[in-house]
Amino acid sequence: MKRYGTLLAVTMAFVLALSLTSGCSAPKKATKEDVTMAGTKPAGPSEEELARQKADQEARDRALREQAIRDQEARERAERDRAAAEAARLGELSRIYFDFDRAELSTEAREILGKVAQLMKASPGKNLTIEGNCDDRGTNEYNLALGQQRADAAARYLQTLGVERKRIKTISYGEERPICPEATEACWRKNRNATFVYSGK
Amino acid sequence: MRKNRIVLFFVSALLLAAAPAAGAKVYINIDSPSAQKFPIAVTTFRNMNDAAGQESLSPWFADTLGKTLEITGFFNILDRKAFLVDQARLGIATEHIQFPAWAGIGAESLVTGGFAVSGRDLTLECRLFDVVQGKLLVGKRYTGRIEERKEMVVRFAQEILIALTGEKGLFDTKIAFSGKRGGSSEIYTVNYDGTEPVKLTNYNSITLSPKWSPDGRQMSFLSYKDGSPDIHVMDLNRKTARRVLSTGRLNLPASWSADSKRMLVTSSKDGSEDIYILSLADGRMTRLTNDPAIDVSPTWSPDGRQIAFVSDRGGTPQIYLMDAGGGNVRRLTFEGGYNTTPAWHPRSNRIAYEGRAGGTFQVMVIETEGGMPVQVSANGGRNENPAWSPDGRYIAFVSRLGGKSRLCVMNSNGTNVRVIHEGLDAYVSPTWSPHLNLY
Repeated sequence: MKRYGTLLAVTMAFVLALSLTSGCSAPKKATKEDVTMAGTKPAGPSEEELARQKADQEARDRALREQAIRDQEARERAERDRAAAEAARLGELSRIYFDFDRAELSTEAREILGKVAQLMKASPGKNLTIEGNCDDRGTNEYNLALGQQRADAAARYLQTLGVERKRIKTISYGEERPICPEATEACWRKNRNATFVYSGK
Repeated sequence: MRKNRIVLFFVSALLLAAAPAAGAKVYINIDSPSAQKFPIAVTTFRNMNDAAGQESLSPWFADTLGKTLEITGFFNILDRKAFLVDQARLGIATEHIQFPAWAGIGAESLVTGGFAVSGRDLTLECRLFDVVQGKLLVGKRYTGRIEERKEMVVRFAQEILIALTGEKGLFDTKIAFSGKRGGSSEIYTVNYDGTEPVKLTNYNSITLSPKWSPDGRQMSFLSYKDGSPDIHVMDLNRKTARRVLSTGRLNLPASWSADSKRMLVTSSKDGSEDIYILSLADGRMTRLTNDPAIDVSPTWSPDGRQIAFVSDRGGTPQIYLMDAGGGNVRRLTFEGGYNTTPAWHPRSNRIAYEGRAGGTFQVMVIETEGGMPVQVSANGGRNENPAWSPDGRYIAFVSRLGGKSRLCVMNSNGTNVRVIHEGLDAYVSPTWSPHLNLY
């Protein structure tokens, strides 16, 4: 019998919790009124007084809820801003470019790699995949090898700047994943790159 | 080398040709770059038992045989409108042939045929004549189901090729290639005349560089289907693939050994891209090159004693040769700043490759002794990725022109270009099968 009582209490608590978390206040109000009417109606305050108290309580609840929502929104906004800043920073640090049929790092590429190294050392939980890419002139097979050399050149440079090799993975996609589809020098230039893909925090 | 080839030719002619005497005379020297197309007349076929409702088969056999021969690029199929006699009505055997009437329109060979249909059973008779000498070269009778008529025609075309060129045609070969569509690439095969395209893989990934094993039963390729560039081998009967090399870095399949047990591969497992021999039974790898530069696309010579490959150790990608063990490395190409994809001619010391010429890429051929390369493909667009047919008479390649990519085949002297497959976004790395003995 006692076990059933416990079970009943748990079930009721569960139902109550559900009705609270569902954000629907109507059932809660009804319960309160029932208790009030049953227990204190003959000797208590007037009905007007009760209604006023109830309205005050509801206003306070509403204000609290709105404050909580505002706080939550502010937190989310801050997180979004932080993520956007991070993304913008990583966006700047997402790609370096190469000359045709070359895997040597330009001055500009080395500058970006320096910042990548700083970022990696500041965030020890982060890992990096370097994807080597080529423009579509020449042979697919040779370009797969060239893409590997480009990714390796970037990885070696990061390593000399103190980033542990085990946090860096390299993969070549050769000419198979162009980011720009046209047969123009402008597009070919964009397609000859090493792309940095970050994972972890 | 040349002597060996002639001996080999006689042996195969004796074994394969129905009329050994025909093997002695080569009517069409298809290795000659100046060879003229051989004029041949193919008559409509005689309805031998006057089977009702089968009249359309008369021109069907003539047209199908004509098309099958024409695609070889060796024949000029004479227009039936120019014919002076109705040979099908007069009779198809030697005693009925009006040789002067055929010589009169310039035919050097004549094909006649007859068919008898009974229910779904078909009997087909085909004859090939030497018009100049007025004699029968080959006569064959085929029996089977009417649905098998195309196969019978191809079988007789094979006989014609053996009788006139001394060697069977490529009717039982296929071309494999990687086709790109919407960001992914898959392996396809297609008959050498462009019929029956089949999509072999469906990985929705990057899948490239198919290579046929010499026994015709397996195909190796590169695929990113498991995340990294690994080498896989597909059993072509069961259509199942297994991964044979995965290192977390770049691995590329190249040519197979003659016994189909070993494979040349490029791998960057030890740092830079180097060439290894991969033993398929135990996965053991033997390193052949050791250079910080790129070494890629190795291919064995037909006798297995040498390897041609691409290296940029001199600053630009060029074709190099080395002995089979990795020693005696020497540079072969010096013309042009970008020469890749060597393909060793199956019967001679010639290498086809893709070379940069005049701001674009063309199919070039160079003797392995060195010297000046010869541009084989015609100017206009980019012509890339050459692959020899097993007889060395044709080259499959990829043509890129006006933003369109097409898989093409040409005769080894660059003539008779025909499109084998088009419609995909791009075509990459064609490779020709060995004879698959389908006919």
